[in-house]
Amino acid sequence: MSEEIRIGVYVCHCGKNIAAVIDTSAVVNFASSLDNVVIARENTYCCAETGQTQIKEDIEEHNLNRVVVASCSPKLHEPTFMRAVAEAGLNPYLMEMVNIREHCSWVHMHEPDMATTKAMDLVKMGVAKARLLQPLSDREVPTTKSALVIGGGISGLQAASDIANAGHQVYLAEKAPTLGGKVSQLSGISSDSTPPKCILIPRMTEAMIHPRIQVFTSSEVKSVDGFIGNFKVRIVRHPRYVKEDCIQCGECTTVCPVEVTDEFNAGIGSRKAIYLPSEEATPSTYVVDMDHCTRCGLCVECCPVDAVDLEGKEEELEVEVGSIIVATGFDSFDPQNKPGYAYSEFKNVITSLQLERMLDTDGPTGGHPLRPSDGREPRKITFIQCIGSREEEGNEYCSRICCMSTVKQAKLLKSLSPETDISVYHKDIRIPRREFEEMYRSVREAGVLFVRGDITEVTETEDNNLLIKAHSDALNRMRSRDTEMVVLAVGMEPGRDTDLLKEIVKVPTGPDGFFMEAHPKLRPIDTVIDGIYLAGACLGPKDVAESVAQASGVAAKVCGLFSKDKLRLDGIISKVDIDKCVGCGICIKECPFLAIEEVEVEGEKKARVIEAACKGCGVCAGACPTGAIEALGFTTEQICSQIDAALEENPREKIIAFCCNWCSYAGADFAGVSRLQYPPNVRIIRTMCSGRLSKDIIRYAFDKGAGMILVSGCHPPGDCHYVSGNYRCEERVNSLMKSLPKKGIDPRRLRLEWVSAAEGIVFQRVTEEMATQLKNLER
Amino acid sequence: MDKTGIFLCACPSSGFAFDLGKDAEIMDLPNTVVYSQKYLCSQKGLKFLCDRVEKDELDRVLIMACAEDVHRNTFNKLPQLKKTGIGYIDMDKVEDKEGLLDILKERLKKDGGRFPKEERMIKEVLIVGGGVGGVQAALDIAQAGYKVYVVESTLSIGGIMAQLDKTFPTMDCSICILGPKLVDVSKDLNIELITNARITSITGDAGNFNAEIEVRPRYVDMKKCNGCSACVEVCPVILPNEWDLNLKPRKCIYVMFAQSVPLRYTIDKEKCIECGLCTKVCELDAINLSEEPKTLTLKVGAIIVSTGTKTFDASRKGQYGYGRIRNVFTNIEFERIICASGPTSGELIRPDGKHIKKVAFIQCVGSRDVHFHEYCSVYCCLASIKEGRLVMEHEPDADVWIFYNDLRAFGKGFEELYVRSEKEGMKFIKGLPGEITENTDTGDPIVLFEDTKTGKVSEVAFDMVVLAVALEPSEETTRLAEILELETDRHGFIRSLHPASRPLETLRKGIYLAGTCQGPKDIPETVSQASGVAAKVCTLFSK
Repeated sequence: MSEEIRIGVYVCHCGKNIAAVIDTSAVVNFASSLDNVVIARENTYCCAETGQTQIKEDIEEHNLNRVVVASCSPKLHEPTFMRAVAEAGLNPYLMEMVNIREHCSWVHMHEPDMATTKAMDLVKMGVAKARLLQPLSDREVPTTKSALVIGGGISGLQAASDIANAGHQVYLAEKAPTLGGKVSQLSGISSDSTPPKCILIPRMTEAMIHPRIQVFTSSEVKSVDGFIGNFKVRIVRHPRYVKEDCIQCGECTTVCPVEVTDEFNAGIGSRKAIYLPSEEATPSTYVVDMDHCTRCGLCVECCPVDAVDLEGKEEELEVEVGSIIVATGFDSFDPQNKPGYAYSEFKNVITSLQLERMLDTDGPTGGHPLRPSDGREPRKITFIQCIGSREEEGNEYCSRICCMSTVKQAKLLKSLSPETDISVYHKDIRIPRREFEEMYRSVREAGVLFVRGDITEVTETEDNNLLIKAHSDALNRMRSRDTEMVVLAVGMEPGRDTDLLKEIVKVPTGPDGFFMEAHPKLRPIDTVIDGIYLAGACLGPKDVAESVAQASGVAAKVCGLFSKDKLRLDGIISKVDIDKCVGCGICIKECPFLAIEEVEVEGEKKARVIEAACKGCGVCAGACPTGAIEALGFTTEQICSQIDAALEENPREKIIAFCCNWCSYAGADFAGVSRLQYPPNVRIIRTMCSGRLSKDIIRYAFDKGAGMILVSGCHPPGDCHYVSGNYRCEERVNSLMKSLPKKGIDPRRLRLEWVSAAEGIVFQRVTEEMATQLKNLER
Repeated sequence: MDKTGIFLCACPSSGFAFDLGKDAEIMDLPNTVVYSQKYLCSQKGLKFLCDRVEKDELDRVLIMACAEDVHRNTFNKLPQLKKTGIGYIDMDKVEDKEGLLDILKERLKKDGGRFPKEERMIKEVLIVGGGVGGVQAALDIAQAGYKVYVVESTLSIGGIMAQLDKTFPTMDCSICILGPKLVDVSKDLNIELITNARITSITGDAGNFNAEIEVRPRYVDMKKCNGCSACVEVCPVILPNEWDLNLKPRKCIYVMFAQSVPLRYTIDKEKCIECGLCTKVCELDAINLSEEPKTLTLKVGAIIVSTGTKTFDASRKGQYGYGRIRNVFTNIEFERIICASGPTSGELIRPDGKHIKKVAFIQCVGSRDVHFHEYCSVYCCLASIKEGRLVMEHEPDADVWIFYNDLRAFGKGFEELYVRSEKEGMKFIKGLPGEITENTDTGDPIVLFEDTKTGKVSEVAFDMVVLAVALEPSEETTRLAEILELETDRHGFIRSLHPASRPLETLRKGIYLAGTCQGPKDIPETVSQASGVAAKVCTLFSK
């Protein structure tokens, strides 16, 4: 005989976040009236120690065996409450969260009555599911104690060093032929005189000689499989065409006839097709740029140690790691061919990066700023700030470092030649580091003129000089200024490969195009994927200090992960009911992780789930034609019970929204965090993946009278956290769409939308459109 | 006789010119060969070093280069130098040529110049300061399996973040984010929390520190008290609640705030009338009015300073009338006023009962001001925009003005929030007000300002003025810097080993910095720094 279900319901005020909109006492009274609910309470903060203690005491005193917490998003506090019930001796999977903050009080702020009704519905749905919850157990899997760092700039180097020095193996993959990243191009990074070289060189060298760091340069990550503690990564290593025997004599460069623009020097001057990327290149081996090489063979002939091999082949290798760190940095904004920056084509308009190269004493101009048109030192220099930052259309964000960089460059220019007349046109001067604030004062004292205002026009005049017309906010009128050279303070943009890499590692990017952290404050260097972390400017514009601190932070996360031999994984997996399984093999085909195998049971073909490899997406459960596979934690019965509860009253007026855990549910959360208001007749049901949904489940909701159904998942192709679940979902929805008219259901009642974790605004728009559509259909 | 190779790094960042060939010759050093190489620490440099050791059959190696603590690690990893050992002269620590020659002679007499054997490493950590930085570091280090002591000077961990209503740019509720972390700290078996305590002395070196801690009495037995609050109900002494800017009462026996960790009561002994009611009502016998201060001694291998900041005393900027004009508040006070758990339960009303609709936020109070602090306090612009948005959320017809110098929105998602707020009607006035006066009849503060964009001088009355106050080193930061003999900058913030490349380490090995004790920072940066410090500790302990 099954035990009696005894449920405790806890409604959180979250201070005023919930209680100011929703009548929580009414929700508590309502919850008390539901079957199996033994006790219902409200609490100012359920997550606080008193709130948690209350739950634990009730479990003991009232013999609760299910707990429903109606508060914020499970993304925030599911672990908190799971732990709390576990401490009271209850299986943690017997706790269900109901999201009445992000999905209710924050999105229906001006409709308190509707919000309260919705909250009651949501609680009813949660209680319905809770009745059917089953205890699950966590899995233990071994951890591979090695890490892959993607990106060999200052952040990647720091992370690799810290992890290796804590005793773990590190693989460091860098796309370029040398380590060092963007910092190697700079002439100075801090307010003191330390050259960036003195910061980079020891770190690069350490990476090369460290017994626990293996460096792969000219290498790119091709694919990532597996899960936390157990990733398999394929890396493609492009050939350098120069073997490690290279003695850096430079003979090859002398004879090479091909001149190529020197990207290291930001386009100032040229290099050869066989070259050393920079004086401090690490590894210090030459490399052939095959895009430009004419294969004339002169370098092969002249090399004294026969190190040049133009037939070098691409290599592919596989590494097994427990953790992955993405530290792929940024790219500088390129003003050329961008609307609004036509003047960047003029000869004596250079970027701040080009000036950085000029100011480097080892650089192409030996540390002197020279006009590209005539090689003369300019006496009048004008900086223009916010190029590619703070744009109305384009990059809306502030790049954080450019003001400091300009102040530093102005100081250097003044110290090289105090007579140089320097002006800076800016919006606000933004200096987050106090050392630079002092420098800002000192350059003003040295005569650098700071003008707040917008540039309206830059034209070229005689002798390639420039005429700048700008509005001066202080004088409240237009000003013109002649100048001999213009420096554009260019902003930072997401690395050009971000979109490619994002699909490989499955880490989403935000509206600004940079990688997105799991939570800006709670988990600023974690990603939504366990075991994958972010460091440095791939997260957004950052200076060196912040990048290295983050990189060390990531190393701490990795050390924490590696401190135990085994890792606990959640109990959300799939399970096959052998009796119902007919051995058709569809699940094996659809499983993105090869986590289902075929076995023979008493002479019959059956499917079996490989538990350690199962990621719990439930795509198999959505596919199984006989309903033999259950996605634990999200069983068909549980989902249908939520549908029943949601549609018990006024079903025709309601919109059921199936949202995948990673993107769409998080997108709806984001709508809440951003306080984007949408119609209160939406009822969200969470599944791990949109591929979890079977046609039967969607049909069931229509049978129960749902007015509209939204199915929502991660954007194809690459956003799906289970590789291809979104495609499986799309196939099923499309096929179902065709069959709906036969059942007398208008196919416009079913809608499939991709909503990413950052697209709260899309969630708002879609639900608004659907609500209007519903009204039209019902008319 | 052994043959010694002296390797001088000819790095352009070297402090003074030293011609090794010529100057060393003067010293007439027998059996030595001198080498000079640009960037000895680079891969090229190391190859040169190893080649010379092998080809010239050197028996001993003496390296003259910068930052020994950085580079020695690198050189130590070279297998070719295992048999020679490495002597090292840290050129950063040498003042002049004469000094160098003396050191050189001294070092050549000794063999190899190896490090003395390290003493046993105590793999436990002391974290001073339990704000969000200290808390994050504690959780990360505990996760890695090491024992952590968190010493907090107040009654609860949580720091300034616990006082805030919301956090920018996501407008998340501050305590909702922080609260669970505080609870995690109290539950972690690897973390021991020592509150109401302060460090009195620290001796020793990395791996082996000895810390003395004075624990002030709470007059309530922490082990017996379960936070039931029966004592609070009977306590007859009513006092202003400092946590809620004295706008709300508290009892003489109290907790700092509802989510306090540990949730244990404390008696404000100075104000206690020793009526004994709490003693009688406490069923757990937890009250102990004769409790004495205790001294604890801890032995730890590493120390993390996360003592944070305090806010600028706004009354020092006299023209803004703080403390004199009734409805001029600081932004921290405003956080409590607008917070649901604050003195007005989140109602936007002034102490005189008037609804707050028209609010002026004034930036750079104490920051970027030659009379007070020249630096920018980093958090204030966005904090004001956030607070302005909260006003607009509370009151649909709110009128929010932000007076600024430069609007500094330089973090992830910050500019976007600024632009959105301006579009939604928040007013941004470039230029800081000259003076605030008061309409004594209405109690409204009147702001006198020049809009530097238009050059127009105006006087506008507001319901409330909120001053965005500067951050300065907290008393604990100042005290710790003295006890630990750490170098501070001229503002009193603790200096790191290098502001850009080594922001987490101090000049003393084994002592690390997290968060605002080294300068103003926002929450995300503090949290990632704290995790970073955890990595430094793990690395130190892995040896």
